[in-house]
Amino acid sequence: MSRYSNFILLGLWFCGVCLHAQKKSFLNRKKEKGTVTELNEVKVYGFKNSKTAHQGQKVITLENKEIIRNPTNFTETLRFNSPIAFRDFGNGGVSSARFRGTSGTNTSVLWNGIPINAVGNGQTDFNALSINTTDEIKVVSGGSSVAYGSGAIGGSIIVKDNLSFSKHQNAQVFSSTGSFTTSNNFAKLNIGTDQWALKLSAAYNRSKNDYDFLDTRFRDEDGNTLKNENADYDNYNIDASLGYKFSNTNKLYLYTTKYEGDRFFSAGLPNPSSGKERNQDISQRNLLKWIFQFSKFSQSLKLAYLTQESRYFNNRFVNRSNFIKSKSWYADYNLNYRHSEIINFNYFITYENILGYTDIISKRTRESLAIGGSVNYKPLKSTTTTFSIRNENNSDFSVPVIVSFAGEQKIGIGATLKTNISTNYRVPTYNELFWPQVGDPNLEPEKSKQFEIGGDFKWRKISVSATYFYIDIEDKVQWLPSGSSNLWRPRNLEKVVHKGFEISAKAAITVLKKHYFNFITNFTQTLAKDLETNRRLPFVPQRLWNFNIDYNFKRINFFIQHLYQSKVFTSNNLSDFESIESFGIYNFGINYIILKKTKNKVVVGAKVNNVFNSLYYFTTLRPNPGRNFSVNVNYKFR
Amino acid sequence: MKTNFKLLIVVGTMLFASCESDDASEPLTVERVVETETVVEVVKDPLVTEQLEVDDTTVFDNGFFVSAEGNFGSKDGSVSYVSNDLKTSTNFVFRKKNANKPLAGLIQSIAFNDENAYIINNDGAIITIVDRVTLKEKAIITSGLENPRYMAIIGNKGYITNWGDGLDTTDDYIAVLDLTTNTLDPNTIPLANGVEQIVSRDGKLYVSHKGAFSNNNIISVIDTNNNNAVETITVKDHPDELFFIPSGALVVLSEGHNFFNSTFSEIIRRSDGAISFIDVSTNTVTKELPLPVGNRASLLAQDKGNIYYYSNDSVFTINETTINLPTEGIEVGNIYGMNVKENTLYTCSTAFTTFSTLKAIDLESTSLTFVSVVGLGASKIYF
Repeated sequence: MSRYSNFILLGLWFCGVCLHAQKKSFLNRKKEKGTVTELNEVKVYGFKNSKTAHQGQKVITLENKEIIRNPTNFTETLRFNSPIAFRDFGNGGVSSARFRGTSGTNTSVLWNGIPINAVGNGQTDFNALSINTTDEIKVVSGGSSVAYGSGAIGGSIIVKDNLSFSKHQNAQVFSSTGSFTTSNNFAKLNIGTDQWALKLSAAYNRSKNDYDFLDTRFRDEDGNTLKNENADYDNYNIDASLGYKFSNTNKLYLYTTKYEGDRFFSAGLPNPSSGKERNQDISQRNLLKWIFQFSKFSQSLKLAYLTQESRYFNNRFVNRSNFIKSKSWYADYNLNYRHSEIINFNYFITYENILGYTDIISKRTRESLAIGGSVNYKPLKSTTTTFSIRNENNSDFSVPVIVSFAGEQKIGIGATLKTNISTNYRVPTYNELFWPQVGDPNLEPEKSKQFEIGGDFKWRKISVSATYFYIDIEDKVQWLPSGSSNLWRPRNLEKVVHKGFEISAKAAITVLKKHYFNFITNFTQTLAKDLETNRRLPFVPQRLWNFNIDYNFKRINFFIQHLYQSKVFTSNNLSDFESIESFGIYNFGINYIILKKTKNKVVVGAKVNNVFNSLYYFTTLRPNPGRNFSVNVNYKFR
Repeated sequence: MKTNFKLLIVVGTMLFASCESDDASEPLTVERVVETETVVEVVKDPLVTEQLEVDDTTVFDNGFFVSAEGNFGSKDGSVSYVSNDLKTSTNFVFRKKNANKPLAGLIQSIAFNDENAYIINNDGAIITIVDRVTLKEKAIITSGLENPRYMAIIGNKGYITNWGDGLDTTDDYIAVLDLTTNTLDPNTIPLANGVEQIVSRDGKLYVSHKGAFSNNNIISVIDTNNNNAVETITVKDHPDELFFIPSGALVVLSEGHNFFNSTFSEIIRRSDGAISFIDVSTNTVTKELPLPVGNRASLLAQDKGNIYYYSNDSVFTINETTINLPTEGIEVGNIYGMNVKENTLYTCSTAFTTFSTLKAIDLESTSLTFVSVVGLGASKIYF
């Protein structure tokens, strides 16, 4: 509270952000690249009234429909429906995003506008977070640090719970069960009146995850093929959200959620029987949001408190663990002044206080206060521009003033040209700073400059969105062996560049009036390069492609999903012997509406994943499951 | 519609422009690595090896192996081969001879007998048994090992040091492998914490106790002809490399240790290392050459009665009669592995994010005579 108490007196409360932990035992002599990282920090989720929030950027939105098709975990949902590449260690293993080829710390995840990347490693583990009860997921490509603060360099993912003030009552129960004793279940209830809105939801996921490995190069000492071991997991979350409308211009919201996950980390090949690691994650988040409008002003105040804990057991049979815990307070005030149709001003102030500690790192607190604003100028009906600026005062770092300029120009009917130029940053994480023996408290924030230009094109039921991006990151934090040992330490070393393009497209076609086809696809081409060595970065696929094709006829729905990833190098050697082969996999699904009444709808479905039983990898020698099956029921009622 | 078309052209051009290819994707080559390395004292142009093409008939009987650890958990350890004439070399030899199957783990060490090589995969807890000439896999051991480190051979038995759980100081052991049946004996030899390297002489095993994740300061002597009775010899902290020299003395390199407080945030004490000479008829330390903090050593090798140790980026030469440690050495830069043969020092650069470089340095002229690229994290050179 110390240095910012005056500001707090200004009527701000605060809250925090949360965090998450890092599975690595510091005792491992070698730090594994890529999985270890950062601490989190301030962010501002501006007023969502402003269409300016993601101006000039490429955004895709996912909803319940996408979630129930890929309900296993958040990684899977995004893999088949977004332009993001993931590096994970299996369905129960750690999963990190590589948005536009950037590292896991450069994707910011926000829960109802509050940043939730882990304090310990600065990432979100997409397999330690349940989003099946979420109403809406926005995937925003490119830097958004002005809006979301640290880490929003490669992109941002915003998960939201929706509350609406209208007389309604609806519920959904979904349950899926499939191969390897995998089960994904959730229930949601929304009730509302003109004044009240309530959402209650819960989810439970589990799997024994004990599938046969298709890679037959490896066998046990008796010559038998191998299967995944020590890989079971389960997790649940419960959420409650409540809204109260005092008037059309005065609304109060409360969101709360709890997640608990317990999982075992498989060793993969060549010796799955040697796997013993276990990890538990517990997180809890609370947010109070007040929205109040008067004359030409609208303001929002958000107060959040988040806790996160992760426990790592290097041996599941021994009751000995390492933990990391964090508690974050977060307060955000946002004021919007709509001067006219042409010009709009936005001001924000965000305070964040993060406390983190582990079994071997004593309690450390980081505070930050960010002030910023934006001017949205719309000189013509077809032209919109926004200039934004943010200045953060951080107790641990000198964070640069960052700016963003966005412009959108409508060209004719259905086409918009977009551009976004911004500077962004990522502050070093708790692990990078304080990990005993290896952490470096003098690390500098990573700084990025980004340019992107693209357009949206719409014609009848076809829409295409394409963007070229160029991201330049300085002071990139890299874990590298130090001195004559192979003790890995973080250093501000690299200057890296990420460039490429993303294309998303959607099309809906009706054939013979009764046959409905939907097509949706994401393609990303990325070149990520270290400018010092002039070499490509490992773990970045150059090409990533997914698509979903839907066919609907009467009560039947049939769909195909595809995911393609090009070859990924796993070391700087860029040697074929240290790489993951390219692959393309397909999933088929079928749904049938068995009951369709005004108040009740029951859909039963079946899905075959990896239809062609392909052997494919996301991480070295951790083969993914072969062909596998699931059936599900989706019941909605009012 | 016209403007939409223009937009498509603009976007299309951008997409095309971003498809450029460049040499950022080329695999690392010897020349490329050598270019970026700081080279010792180049008296003459170093000989750079040619790539040895490996096919099913290739045999590896006229050269030496270099094992490369790779990174813990990254499953990328490998073995390289260099011909004795230093003209050809090749990496990933096991994989090239075994249907593209990688060794898939941190390759801690290799033990050899006349027929086989026993490749020890530490994090995978596997021993891969291969024909030492063809490198074809004959058998693997996947159970009964936990954090295996090194193996010594007496007759038809292999003795493998195992940390057990690296955080547990009471579960270290030696696993015994029957080399005729390639099966592990269900009975193990329990030992004190942190077993590391192991050598044998006259039916006895000598094990350095480096201390795994903590510290130890003993050598265990196991008499395999006497019910595996164990005696211990105390040396300085963190004993690692050890071998017998021609005179019959056992030489041990103790690296010295940094002691941390309970939260590992602070070093509370640093201990000295030493090179110890042990008379194995009495199991006593007959001479100890101290390597004080600041001059600790991490690698030890021998050739023709000379002992070589690596300390502070230089390699120093001593022998059994040395009383005062030399101050002049050969500067070799940052290395992670070394060995000496025929008056030539071979070193592996410390490299855990790219291939290591293997260098040969003539010990008389101290000139670099040869450079090659070996696996990532190369650590051991086996002549």
